[in-house]
Amino acid sequence: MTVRTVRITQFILGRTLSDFMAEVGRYFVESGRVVPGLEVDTEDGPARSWWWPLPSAGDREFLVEAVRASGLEDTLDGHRLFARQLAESVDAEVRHRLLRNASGELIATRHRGRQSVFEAWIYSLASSDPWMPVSLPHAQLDEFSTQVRDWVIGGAASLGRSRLALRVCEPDPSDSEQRWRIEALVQDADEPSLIVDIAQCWSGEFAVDAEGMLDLVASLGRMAHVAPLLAPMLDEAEPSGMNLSSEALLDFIGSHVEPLADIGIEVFLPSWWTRRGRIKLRAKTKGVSSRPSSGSGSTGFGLQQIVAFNWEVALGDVRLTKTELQALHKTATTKQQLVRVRGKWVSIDRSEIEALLRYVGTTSEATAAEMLRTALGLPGITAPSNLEIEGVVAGGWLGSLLDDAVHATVTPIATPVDFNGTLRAYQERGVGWLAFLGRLGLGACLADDMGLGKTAQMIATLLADPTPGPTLVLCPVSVLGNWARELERFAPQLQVHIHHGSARTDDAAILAINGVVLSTYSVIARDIDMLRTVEWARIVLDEAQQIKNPGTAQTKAVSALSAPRKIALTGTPVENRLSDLWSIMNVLNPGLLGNFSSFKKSFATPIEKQNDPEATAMLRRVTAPFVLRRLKTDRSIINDLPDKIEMTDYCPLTSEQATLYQAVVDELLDNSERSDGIERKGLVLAGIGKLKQVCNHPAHFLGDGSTLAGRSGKLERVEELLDEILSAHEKVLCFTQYAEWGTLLVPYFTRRFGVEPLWLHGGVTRRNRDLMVDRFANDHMAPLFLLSLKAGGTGLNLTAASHVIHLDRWWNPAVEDQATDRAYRIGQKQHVLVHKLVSAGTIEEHLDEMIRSKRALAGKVVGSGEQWLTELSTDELRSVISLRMPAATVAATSPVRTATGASS
Amino acid sequence: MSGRGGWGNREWYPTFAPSKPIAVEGGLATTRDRGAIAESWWSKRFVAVLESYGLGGRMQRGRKYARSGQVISLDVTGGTITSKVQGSRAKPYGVTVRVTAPTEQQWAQLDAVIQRRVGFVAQLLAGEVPPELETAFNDADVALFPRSWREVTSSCSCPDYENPCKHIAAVLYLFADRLDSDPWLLLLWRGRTRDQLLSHLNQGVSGGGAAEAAAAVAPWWPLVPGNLNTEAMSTYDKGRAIVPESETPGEPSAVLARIGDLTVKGKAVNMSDRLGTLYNAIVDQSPDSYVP
Repeated sequence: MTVRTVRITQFILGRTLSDFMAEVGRYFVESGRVVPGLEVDTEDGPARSWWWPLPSAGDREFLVEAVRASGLEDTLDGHRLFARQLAESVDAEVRHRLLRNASGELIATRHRGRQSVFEAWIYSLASSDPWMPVSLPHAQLDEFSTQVRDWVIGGAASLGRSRLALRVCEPDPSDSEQRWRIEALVQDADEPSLIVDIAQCWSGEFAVDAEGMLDLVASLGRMAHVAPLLAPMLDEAEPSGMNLSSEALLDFIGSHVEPLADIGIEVFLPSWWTRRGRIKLRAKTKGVSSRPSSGSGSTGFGLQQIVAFNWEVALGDVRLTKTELQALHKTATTKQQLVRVRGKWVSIDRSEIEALLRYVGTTSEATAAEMLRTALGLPGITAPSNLEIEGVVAGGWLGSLLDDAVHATVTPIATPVDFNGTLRAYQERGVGWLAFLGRLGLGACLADDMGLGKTAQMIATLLADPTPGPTLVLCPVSVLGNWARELERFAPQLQVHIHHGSARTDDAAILAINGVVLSTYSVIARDIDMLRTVEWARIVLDEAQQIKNPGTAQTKAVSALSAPRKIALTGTPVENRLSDLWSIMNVLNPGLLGNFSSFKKSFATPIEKQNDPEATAMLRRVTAPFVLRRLKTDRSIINDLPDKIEMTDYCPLTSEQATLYQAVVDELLDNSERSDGIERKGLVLAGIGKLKQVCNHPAHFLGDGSTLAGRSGKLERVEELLDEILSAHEKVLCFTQYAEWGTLLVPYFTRRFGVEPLWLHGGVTRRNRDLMVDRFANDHMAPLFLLSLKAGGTGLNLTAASHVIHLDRWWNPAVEDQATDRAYRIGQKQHVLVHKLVSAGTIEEHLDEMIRSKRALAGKVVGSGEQWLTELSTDELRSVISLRMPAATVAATSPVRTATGASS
Repeated sequence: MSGRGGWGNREWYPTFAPSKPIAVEGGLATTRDRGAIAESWWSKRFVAVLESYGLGGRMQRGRKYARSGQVISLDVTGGTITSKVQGSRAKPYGVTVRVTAPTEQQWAQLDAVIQRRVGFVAQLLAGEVPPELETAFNDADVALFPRSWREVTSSCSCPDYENPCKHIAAVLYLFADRLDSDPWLLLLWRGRTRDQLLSHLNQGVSGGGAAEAAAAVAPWWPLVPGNLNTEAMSTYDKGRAIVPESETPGEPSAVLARIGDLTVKGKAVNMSDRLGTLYNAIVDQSPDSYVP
């Protein structure tokens, strides 16, 4: 006895057996493997309910270990002692938990008077007292306890419900004949991870009942029927497996594993089987220069460039020498066989080795795109003789592309000296990246979040990576003015030509002499024949989502243009819209993603329909070198960003707007001439108000309830902004000083974006206002909040917004800032992007410039709102309100186009 | 009725008289109604022996009988096939077909061979007659298939004086058809039941009694006492049992699904319904899950 005690102590590492039992009990309870039980004392004693453990088949192994280690004897009594202690531990733990969670009362209340045996049992299971009332009829208790007992036995894991399985074992390295062993196994049907050698079944160590035994033997018969190769296994009385030569093994695995699985016999292959070696070809580039030729010669640009390479032979990452291959050729037979090469099992046959020997050392060529695709395991280089290609080894720029090391190897470019501004650190990285890919002739997609300064990075790149030929910038009409202004602001020395409007030139030579040609997607489709004759050094595609649809004329036109440098700018997360991504990438780096149908097959369908993580990762790997996307929320960016970024968007007037604007100007100047005093002031103020309404929208000015779409450059820009903001699931505040304008916008936005904007104006009750504020904060279905400046400018806390749009201007920075501050609060986690919309060439732009350039003066002058304008003389007034119209300010969206000269 | 005694009922009947059998509702028709009767090699072997007798016309009529379901019953016992076949008379004819069963001695030899190679019963259990079985029978000097018609003794209570008559032929064709799906019949005819042939499999395996042996410890106990391979215990001196990580079940009362319903007074009670709340409280591990 002493010895036994010592052993127990050892086994439980210093704890007592009951401590150990408590732990085992908790294991069963926590795993939910407990069942209600009932025990009736044979001598008319009281009955008690039990919570018994119900070990699963998978627990058996552990219990065997525990019984053995407990030092108890492997006899009926020993097992009983162990089982009793375990049951007590489980019962105590369950009742403790029930008491703690006080659910006992939930299930049963003790009935007064007579109670059935069953109900008494249920009650006692839920209570802390396991003993059942002595008043219960003993005969019924006896009968019921037998029923409970049989019920529990039915679920006990004492018998293996098992099925046959097979395992392929590697030959012993010392076995010169290299015989592979096929082991017969028994797999528990309820617990497939429980697998024992079939020998344990023959010996009875793994107990199966007679029925199970017959099933197992029948499975052996079916196995031999499906895989006659294994029939010799059945020649023994109690077979445990058999040996196969490597040829037979390949035959077995090739032809029989699946049919066996079909009849429920699983075959376990060695873990390396799926990764088993095949000797394959590998393409090794011959001295790729650190930069590809960026000339327009026949070798093509960037990924279209032709690269010469040598075929070598490799097993996995390891290159095999020709001598090794020749040695293999000697051993190879005509049938597939497994051989060990450099410690790995490899299947070879003679003809394959012969083909490899024929090509090793020979030279071939492919485009860089094909090499990149091959390296990523996509269809790329075509291998000779149906051989497989293992991979691509390349140095230089191609190597860093293959290694996905582009982002790491790029060095930031400090703000160019002639750049009229200062770049932030992440912008310098962006410029470095654009210049790097540009020099390699690779298309780049800069997909930074809105507000991170994509335009500025692009303009800095024009300066940092100067090209001999012109740069073509394509953008939507709505941002053409922006581009012109930003170029003027950051790089005034660049010669910029605007190719837009009906009077644009049809002479390619005029375009070619410029540094930058600004044009629009609507023009390019019409002028493509002329534009493609220009030898562009760089093409910039702003708002590249414009070419997301491969079928449109503008996308086709853009594809037809070639340039050694192609850059797409977009703020929409293109990587989430696979067809958009394909279309943009196809323009930037033709061939990289294959044609659309193969792209759909290998990426779009698996990712979108099957949510395939491998395809997703693969797509990311293919495109990662060519896409740079930084988010406002990136840690590295956040530190670099001010909390509040203000952007001014210059929107063109449509010709309808321009005509109306001119009419109002004429009337206003006329009135100002002919009146004075209070009357003049009133007329001037009213006129200025009308001008601002025209800038917003003709329908706002006319108040005629006419349609909104396509008539206002400003509204068009607002829609673009909202598209981008809402697709990123961000929230936005839109301020206007005109309640009637807001009222017009609500139904329009609702239709256009599918969400009804919250609309807060002076007429909203306090209660409704609070409801709106609450919805905006908490309801993701309410991302858009339209506010009148008067009603919403103060007192509200709307920090859910990360964007603020000022639809029209209030010439008082303090008022605007106050409104902006609804969204921006100190300590707010997100940055706030403030978009101020200005109609280009109008009073809005003049005043905006005035405020910018003479901040101090402006503060004084405009401090009182628009009153000061009424003090101006008619001539002063004329200079402020007159329409200045460069080509870019007239949108082509209007059906009536005014003839405006293309100036540069 | 069966056996030679049947001849007593014999009445002379013109063999050329057209006899149309009475159709049998629910008769034992063959599996397929055209083409060869037998599909497996062993049934084919059996039919081949049958047809080697060269009784073309009657054999064909017998096959027709077998196909149209004229055979009412077919029982196989050691050495004898006993059958009833509906002919043109109201009363079905009795047919017996006997072969010589191996002697006890021969069976002892055969049993030993069969037990030495699991393939015999494995293939039979998988629905096939192992070709090696025929060799084994030959070695014991017994034929697995009758080598000629002479080894078969048959009788029929029909008035036809020819033997085999179409009724006997029908029985044998049906037997061949049955053999396709139940190869055990071949051995049963030779005097060994399926259970007898499989009896050795359970020997040495505590299989049959495992559940009882474990339940003698406790109803829920999964181990058979005395089966823990205690020889290994010496190497188990420093025996340690590591309690596995518990796995919280997806559904707290999932374990009850494994056992099924409990019968209470003849009615099945879904215990998950009764005890679900308790299981929620039992499995829930958060110490402060109870909110008063």
